[in-house]
Amino acid sequence: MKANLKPAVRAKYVAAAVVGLLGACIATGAQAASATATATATVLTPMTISATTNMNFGDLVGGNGTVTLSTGGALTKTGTTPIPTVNTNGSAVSAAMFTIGGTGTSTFAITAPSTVTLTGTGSSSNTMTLTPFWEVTATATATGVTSGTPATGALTSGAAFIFVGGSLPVAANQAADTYVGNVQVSVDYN
Amino acid sequence: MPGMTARPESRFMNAQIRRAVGGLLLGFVASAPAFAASAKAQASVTIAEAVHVNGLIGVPVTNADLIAAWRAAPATNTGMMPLRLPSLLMPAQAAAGPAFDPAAAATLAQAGTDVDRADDGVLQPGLVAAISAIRYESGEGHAAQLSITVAFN
Repeated sequence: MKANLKPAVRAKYVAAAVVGLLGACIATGAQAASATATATATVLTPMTISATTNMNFGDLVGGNGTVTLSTGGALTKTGTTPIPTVNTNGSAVSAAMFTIGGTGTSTFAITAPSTVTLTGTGSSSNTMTLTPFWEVTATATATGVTSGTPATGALTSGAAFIFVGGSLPVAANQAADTYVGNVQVSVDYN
Repeated sequence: MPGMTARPESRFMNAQIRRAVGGLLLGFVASAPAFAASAKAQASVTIAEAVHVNGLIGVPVTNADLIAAWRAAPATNTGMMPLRLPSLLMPAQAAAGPAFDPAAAATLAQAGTDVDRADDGVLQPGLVAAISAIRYESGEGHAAQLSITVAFN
């Protein structure tokens, strides 16, 4: 700005500059716009499952008929021949137990085979067919059911337990052998 | 007006955020199978040979049955060795048999003894190699019972 301007002219320049600044500020205020979107994600603890206890029917003999091992580990039979009370394999009669881990009180899907083939360790041609059933509990104690294949379960404080029993037909002429097989249980968040 | 350019930028930013969130969600959906877990438990059962001692399993036995089994004629390869098949009879069940005699059963227990030791109670090779008849009085959480163990080769 020239120093020799008349006061009136100088005042006009100053006024014009102020108006220009104000206009720029107003214009800038009108241009700004913003919005906030909330991004959320729930990170679940991956589910875990481990076989805590194997399933063991102990010793059986032909004539026991169809033997049912409850999820609580109790044996019943349809045949007339009593079930031997001592196990030659040295392991206690027990249902299988799986320990489940995950997040909070999430529900989860359960999949398990409808039948499991047990194969003789003495001769692979010896087979038996196990039909598993199971129950889901919040604590590590089974109620002892003899049927049921629930497709879902729910965690309690991030934990649940699946007890697997089964029914096992013993043929009258079932070959003497020790039969083994695997019961695979899978879980996944619903 | 120059300031109008800010609004398309804002829309662009929102679209970026939406795409980012969508990507996250898609990522979680796509990775859902990673949460699945599985485990295997072994199922096992031992089927004991019962062909040659059917008369001693599950039914009240008489002393004659026990003695007959004890003195069974020798045979070969009639079962796994050593194999023990226990049969537990409640005293009431055993007493319901035609000739249950606790004293005789006790005698058999002494004669047949247990077969925990390889050289104890194993008789001549045959259908039945050893018999152990032991009476258990009630107590310590179990009822009174008569345990008959038969081993054969």
